Amino acid sequence: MWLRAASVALSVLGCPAIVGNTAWAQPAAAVLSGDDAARLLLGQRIYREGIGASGAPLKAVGAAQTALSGKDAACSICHRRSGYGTAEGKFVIRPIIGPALLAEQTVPVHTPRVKARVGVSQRPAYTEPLLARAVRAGLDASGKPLDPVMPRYALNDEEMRALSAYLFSLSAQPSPGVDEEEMHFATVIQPGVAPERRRAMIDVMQAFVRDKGANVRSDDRRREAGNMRMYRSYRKWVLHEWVLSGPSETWDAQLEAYYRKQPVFALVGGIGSANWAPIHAFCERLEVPSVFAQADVPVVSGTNNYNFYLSRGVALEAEVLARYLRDQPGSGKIVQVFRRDDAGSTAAATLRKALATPAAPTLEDRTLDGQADDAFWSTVVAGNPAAVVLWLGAADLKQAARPLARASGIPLYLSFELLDGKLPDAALTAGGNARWVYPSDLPPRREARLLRSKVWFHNKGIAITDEAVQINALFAMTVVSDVVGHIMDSFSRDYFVERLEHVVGQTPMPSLYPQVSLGPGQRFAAKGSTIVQLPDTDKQLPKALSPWIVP
Amino acid sequence: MKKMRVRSAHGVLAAACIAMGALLAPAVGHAHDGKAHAQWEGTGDYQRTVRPYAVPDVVLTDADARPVRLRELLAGSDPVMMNFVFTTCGTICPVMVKVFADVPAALGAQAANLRLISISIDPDNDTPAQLKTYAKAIGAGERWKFLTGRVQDIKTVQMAFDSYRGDKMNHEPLTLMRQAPGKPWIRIDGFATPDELVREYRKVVLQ
Repeated sequence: MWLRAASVALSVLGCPAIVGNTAWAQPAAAVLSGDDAARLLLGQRIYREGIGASGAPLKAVGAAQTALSGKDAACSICHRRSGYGTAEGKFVIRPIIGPALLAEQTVPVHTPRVKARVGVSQRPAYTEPLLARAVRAGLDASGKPLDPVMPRYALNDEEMRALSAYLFSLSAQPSPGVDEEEMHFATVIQPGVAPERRRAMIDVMQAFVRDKGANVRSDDRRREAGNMRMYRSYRKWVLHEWVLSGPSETWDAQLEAYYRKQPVFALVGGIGSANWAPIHAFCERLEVPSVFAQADVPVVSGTNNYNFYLSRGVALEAEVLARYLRDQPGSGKIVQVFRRDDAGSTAAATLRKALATPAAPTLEDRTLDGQADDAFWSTVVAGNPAAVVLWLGAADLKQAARPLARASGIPLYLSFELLDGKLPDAALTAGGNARWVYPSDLPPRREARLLRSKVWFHNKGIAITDEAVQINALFAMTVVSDVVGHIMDSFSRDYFVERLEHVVGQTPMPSLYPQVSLGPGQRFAAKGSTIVQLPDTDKQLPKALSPWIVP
Repeated sequence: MKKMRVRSAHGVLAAACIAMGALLAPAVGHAHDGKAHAQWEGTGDYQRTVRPYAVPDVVLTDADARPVRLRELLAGSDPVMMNFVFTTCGTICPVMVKVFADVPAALGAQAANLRLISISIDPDNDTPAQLKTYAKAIGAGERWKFLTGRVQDIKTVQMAFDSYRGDKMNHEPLTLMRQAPGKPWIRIDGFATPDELVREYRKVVLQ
């Protein structure tokens, strides 16, 4: 229990135990007593989950005497996790972050539009008793009734103290990773990533950061001169490379060491084909947003507040393929070949699960260990299977090309992720049997859509060496830049996450995926894929075999 | 005047929390206890217009992953109420969905031939399976159909009913109703309570 309390206190207070060395860390946090930590934990549980001191769901009364309880009554439903509130169409839910509650509201509002929204009411700062009255009786700090939409909560004194402590501290300090001059980001490189692939990603990201710095090089002086929020928000971006090594059990400690050295506001990009779970868990634990890692094996289930992915990676490919294979006429077994690494195992397991329906074709597994010889490939195509699924990378497919070419007529399904988005060896496609689970759009539409990124690369003098990686890296940076522009000087990671949910669908810079969008709670930007026939000569274009499949 | 409208929008948001209750914890929902509609505060803050919309010829997908030609679905003689929602929306969709859930009770016996249709404006995320879970959570009955489809088709439908606002997060509360094929569409912009919708509906049916 105390462990949980400690970890929550960490998250509430911006990980003080780890931070310590930034000017913006809360010194008070270091001396936080056990009681205070427990109180914040309870406050956080009330706020985020609607769970009271007894562990039972909270009871509240909404408008028109409606009974609410538990999660439905949680403050975070309307005011969001950040406390910055929300707006959609005509709806405005006010921010209830600590600084807002603790500020006297005397600012005269002149604009009619703003006046209509915040109301003309002026109020003194909230104190603990005034906050208790607001929560229990629905009166604001000046005694005027709150909007009827705000429920009344039957909190006992202990709960009320806890909620007050939590609210007064909510988003009260900027999240770690930002100081008065700089905003820090990191990108994580898993072991086993080819140096040129890593370079391709990093070069794009660093060019973006350089560009951004160049564009605001005088704005720090403007920040000193004015008091507008726009000026206050200027920060120089710094991008760190967090390169992981060794077995995945050690990554968490490595990430923490990097973080201790320099906390970052968010992770951006990142690359690797091993399971992303340790990095995912680190981000959830420290409440660090992670934006669009190029991960073959993202975490596709369980709690996810902070990890945004481009897609579900090989799991999405397997589900799309299963959907396609189930709809194919005729029957006969399907053979899937994979290595027992994270990506191969995940893809194979997902396909097996997705094909575990009575009407689906039978699926046989062939695992590849070490070097495959001709005898191995003979067993794969023995008995003339209806299809062979190859969850393999470029090197393995090169080996397979010659023996598989002899078994003509058997469709071969390949993974886009495991081929790193690059066409396989020509010998494999020469027979006209190779098909691809393909997450992008086909030429010429694709070229037209990606032109914006390519022009940017050209202007920055970046050669296109790994198109998929570079396009997606630029997309991730652009999205982060858009979001940072929206949050201005409200440097809350939760607010960042909430804005990101809105921004992604609107970002003009393309990703590799023809359709990307998010929404509240959505964490995978691209949701579908298609099956294409790869041409047997490079003079032809791939041909779509399926419509866009969203499994 | 402006203030009035904003206040009443908030008034309806009161229902959003109720709706969330129904969505997230079906056990505490009150959608079908017959008096649920009495919980709504009437606002009168909506606009009613009559529009000659043409139903576009698109094939959508229902919550059982079956293809549904929208024109065929709307070709039957039953009166219809339609809205646009998405399942991860936390602000206005829960309200609109809750209103639809309460309409049959508010209509009483007249609800027998009413057809409800909710079309997802987030087709990428709202797969048939997702819609099915959502429909089940709010206790949607057999005469309430949830539809999704290809992104382009969903956009076409929204354009046809003048409800496309560029991005799902910009969408506005809207209910469309029609007595029968060949009759005009009645467009209700804003949040009408179930009772208000029923009042408008009766006008439509009796016209």
